[in-house]
Amino acid sequence: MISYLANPSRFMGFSRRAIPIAGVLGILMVGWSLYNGLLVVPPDEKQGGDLMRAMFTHVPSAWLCMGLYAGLAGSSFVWFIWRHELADVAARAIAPIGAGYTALCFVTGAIWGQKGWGSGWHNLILGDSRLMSVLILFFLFLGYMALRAALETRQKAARAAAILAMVGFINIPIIKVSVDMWQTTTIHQPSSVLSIGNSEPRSEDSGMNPVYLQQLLWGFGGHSLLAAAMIMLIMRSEIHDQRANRLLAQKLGGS
Amino acid sequence: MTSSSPILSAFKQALSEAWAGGAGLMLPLGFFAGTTALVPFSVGSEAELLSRIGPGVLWLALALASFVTLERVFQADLEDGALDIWVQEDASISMIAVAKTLAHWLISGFPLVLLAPVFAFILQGSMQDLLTTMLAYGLGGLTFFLWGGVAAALSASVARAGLLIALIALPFYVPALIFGVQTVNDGLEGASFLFLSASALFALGVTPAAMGAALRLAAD
Amino acid sequence: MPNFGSDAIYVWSITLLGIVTPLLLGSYALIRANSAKKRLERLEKDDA
Repeated sequence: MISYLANPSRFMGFSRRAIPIAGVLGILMVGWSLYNGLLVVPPDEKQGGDLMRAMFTHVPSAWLCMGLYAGLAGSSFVWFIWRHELADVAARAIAPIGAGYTALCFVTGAIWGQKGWGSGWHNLILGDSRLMSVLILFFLFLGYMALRAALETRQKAARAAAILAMVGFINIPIIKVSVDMWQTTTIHQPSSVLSIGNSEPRSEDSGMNPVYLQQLLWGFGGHSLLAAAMIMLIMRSEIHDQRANRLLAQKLGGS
Repeated sequence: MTSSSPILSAFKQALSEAWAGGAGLMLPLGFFAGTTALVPFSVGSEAELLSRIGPGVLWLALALASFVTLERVFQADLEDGALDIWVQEDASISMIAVAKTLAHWLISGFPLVLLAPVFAFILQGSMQDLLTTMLAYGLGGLTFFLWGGVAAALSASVARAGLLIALIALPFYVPALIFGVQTVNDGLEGASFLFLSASALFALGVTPAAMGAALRLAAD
Repeated sequence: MPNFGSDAIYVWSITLLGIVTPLLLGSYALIRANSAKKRLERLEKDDA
């Protein structure tokens, strides 16, 4: 599949049909998960009550932004080793979408924490290590885009950015460990903050109501499809831009 | 031993650059002292507050020092063609890059280790675990400078890269910062010291290859 | 409209953000794709 699509013209043909399908399907799936999440499923009696309905936006975006960074690192790796031009185009296209979803995850988490932990922004920032990791992920995306924008030639930008994405990826586990460690010692009140903060990510194994999980998966699938459609759109515009630039260069050279 | 001489000479050159560029040790010492002197002005002079946030301010100063001094660490080599010569001579660019980064750390980061006792006194911190504090500043600073070196190498061909380096390197500084602060709190027996050492070793293992690859691409 | 009580403002603002963000990202992608395509077509037409 990947090597089949590595050919740009085949990618153009595939994406022309795939983008509308992924877009429409994504909207339907996100809509379905939100409809069920907001209107159908019962409020969580154990924790959060109606507030946990925020999860159907927040958690898919959290999964997705991590997946998008992995995708960025993966396509950087493919480009670095095999020099598939399309892999670099993909990396370029993933970065803004990934940054957008990372920002969404952080902001929604912050709003949720405001109510869920009831003690304002400062406590939230100190209180939740996972949200802090998301913020650092946002900076990784931001640095990646800034580096690409700063380097003048395309080839140089691609190589430097690929190195940065790969180095960033192998650092993520260490960042995660360090931020977790920092949280356990900075938090002063081991009250509900920790219990809410900890129960949510492990909800799958701590017996989360399967109706919730199902809607989370619908939302995650829908947002993934939407992100894929956007990434393919940006990839298409990159390829069109490249062709246009080549035409322009030919014209200027020829006349 | 043909490959060791360019490394050594690059190290010496970087030392003298860092030294002369900062008027000797005056600059880093003045920088750390000045930053510390600003703390009471910015947050007030309550002893308890100062002793709590003082070490944190020093860690920030250490990170800032690395950004400032590393901004031009590889740019001169790119401009005067030294990088091209290393590529042609097939010298180990990774090792040269590490040597240069270490030289800058020695001039701009290491003084904080030496100054730790003074600052501990000024900021009302405890004078007890000096060795721990010094080790933490040393290992943490080393890790900072190595990752900062990667950011500097990646943006070697960018004219005014200071802010870019800071933005790129920021996420990479997080682990050393957290483990370093924890080590100061927990002492050498705590797990945080192990983590700090591990993250320094990890940086030492990964950054040479990354810096080498980044500089090689800047050269062509 | 369901009644979420005191949680309503949080739930709705988060949900709204979850709709607006993909919308903004999507329109950014669409605008870029369209302008790139138009530019290429214009250049190709000049060529012919």
